[in-house]
Amino acid sequence: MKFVKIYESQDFPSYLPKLNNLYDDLFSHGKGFRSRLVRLVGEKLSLKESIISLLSQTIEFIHNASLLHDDLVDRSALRRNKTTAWLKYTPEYAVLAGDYLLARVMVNLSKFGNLKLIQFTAEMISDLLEGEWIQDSLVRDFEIKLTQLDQVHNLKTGSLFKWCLQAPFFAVEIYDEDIHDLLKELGSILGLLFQRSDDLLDFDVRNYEDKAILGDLKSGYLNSFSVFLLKGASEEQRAKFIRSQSLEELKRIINENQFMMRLQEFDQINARLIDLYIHKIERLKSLLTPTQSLLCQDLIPLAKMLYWRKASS
Amino acid sequence: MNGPDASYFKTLSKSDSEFEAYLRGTFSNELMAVPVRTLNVQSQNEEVTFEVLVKKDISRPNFLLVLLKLLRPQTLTFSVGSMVVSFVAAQRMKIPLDFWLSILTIFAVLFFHAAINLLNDYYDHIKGHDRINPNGGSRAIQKAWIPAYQVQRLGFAFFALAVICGVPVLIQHSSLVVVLATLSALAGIEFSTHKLGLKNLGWGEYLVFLLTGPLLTCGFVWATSAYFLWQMLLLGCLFGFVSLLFYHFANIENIFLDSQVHRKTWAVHLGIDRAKKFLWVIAASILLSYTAFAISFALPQWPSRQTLLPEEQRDLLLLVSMFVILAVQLILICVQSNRLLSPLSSDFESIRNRSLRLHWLTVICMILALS
Repeated sequence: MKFVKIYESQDFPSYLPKLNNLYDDLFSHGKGFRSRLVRLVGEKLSLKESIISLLSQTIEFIHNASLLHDDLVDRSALRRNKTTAWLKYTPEYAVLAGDYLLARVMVNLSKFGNLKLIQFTAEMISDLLEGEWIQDSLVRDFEIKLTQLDQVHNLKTGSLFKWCLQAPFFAVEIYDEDIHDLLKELGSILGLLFQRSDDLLDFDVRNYEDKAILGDLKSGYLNSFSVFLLKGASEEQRAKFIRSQSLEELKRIINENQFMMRLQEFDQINARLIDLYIHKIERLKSLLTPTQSLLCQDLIPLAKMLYWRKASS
Repeated sequence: MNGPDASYFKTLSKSDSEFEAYLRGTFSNELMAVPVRTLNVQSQNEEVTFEVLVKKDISRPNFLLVLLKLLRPQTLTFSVGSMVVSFVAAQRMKIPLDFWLSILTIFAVLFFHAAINLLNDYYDHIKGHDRINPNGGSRAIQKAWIPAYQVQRLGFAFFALAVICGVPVLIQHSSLVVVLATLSALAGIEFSTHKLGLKNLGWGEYLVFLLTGPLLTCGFVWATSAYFLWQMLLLGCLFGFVSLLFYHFANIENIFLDSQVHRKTWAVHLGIDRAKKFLWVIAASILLSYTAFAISFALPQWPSRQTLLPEEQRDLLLLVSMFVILAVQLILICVQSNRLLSPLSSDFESIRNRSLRLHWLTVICMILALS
């Protein structure tokens, strides 16, 4: 996927070269999926290019600030196949760089002047942080259930997707509660699908980008697919599973057939979630004007694309 | 158009005429509606998305197992357990209890508690609490094992059984007992139906303490013997606090969701850290009530004599052993709770089960110590 340049050199102070270098490292190789989603919605709502750029930058800044902090919290060594910022530039710089991005967001949005959008953004950031905080408190909790993880992911991943869908509507001053409720629902479903698909990568399922595997498990965190795999597992299986160092070892513990069966079940549950997403889009369509409702056609394939990790047929 | 051979989604708002029928499960004989998403719960703009499933395609346990799940028999100790202990204690104190009235009262309360559990499931589903809380209630309605309206009917049936058993007890007694029993029944109904929303305003804890504690033990002995015994008040406090421990802990477990829907439980009010510390206060209250009851029950003459009779020595030994058992269990619960790091920790379940077992343990130990 093409790298989207989300900021210009004048966006950050030229007298802080290290900060600029850190951001160059951080933003390169990002897919910019969230900013693309903002653009998709913004264009259908006939937003001015400058506002679309502002919103796209906002979501990428917030997302990347969360990555800077997250990598430090998780002590992750790699991000997008490169050394993480806290390792390369020190933890202090990573924290400050993340904070600076969040501050820029507020500066830029307050210049735009839509108070509701600012409030909505601040709420999203607090949801995101709450989610990260709770997720961190669940490390080494090996009895966690899928419903509990969903609650965390709704805060952590879902909040960003909700923002991508809702923010352009705030920017054109559409505040209809029914529309926003539906957009919130759609964002929450997209976030869940994105997270679950990402969790599958950890088990090398549909890992087309060759991301590192078993990272979550090795850092003591049971992700949604681990929880699903461990449903009904014995204490012994569970203990061995947690200690697994390779996918082969893990599949020996779970049994390859069982693994495939569970994957099929997991996919079925998420396919149902995609159906629910499409049902909600139909509802949204009925609330939008004919021009705005063209957006729905573009939103429909997104859920499948996010979960199955490729363009839907 | 989707026919009854395939499942599909349907979203309804509170203002839609079919809304209640879908929630209650009365909209079709062949289909079941499982609420999968709820928006703006408990407001005029409430909107629910149902997954409509074909009844014959749903795998579910047989009716008896579903009923057992709905009745939540493990929680019946909160009412029946305390009454049985009151019965044994009153017998030991040589209070002339009417045996048949006692049996009828125990069954009346047992059926009433079952009715409360059923109606609680029904109303928590209708009001939305169990639709947004994935751990709320028995989950039988949300898993489409039984439609909500049938749970309500079962609740009414058990309520009728409670009335049938309770009426003979009430007509034997003064109007004060009738008034107290009626008030307790109304409080119990409020607890399950939330008509006044007291549970959401921080009154749930008081209701639990009174209904499973002093009101129950004193009321039971009063209704079956016409005696008011302050030992029963202490016994009631003991059981009330043990129930409160379980209820408060369950509220700590739900603090995340309760905060989001602005439900004002003590746990939400205190915040998770102080709520966990408050468990120590409840634990201390349990031990204090127990000690006060043990002294008042086993050693009423001791202060005047300054020496213990052999029978009193045996009672004292049993009661001290029971104190130690209780204290150890309480310390374990409080220490484990203090170690909880996350409001979503999976350890909540095991500690909740331990605090439920504590009630059973208290009942069993008390029966053994008193009989």
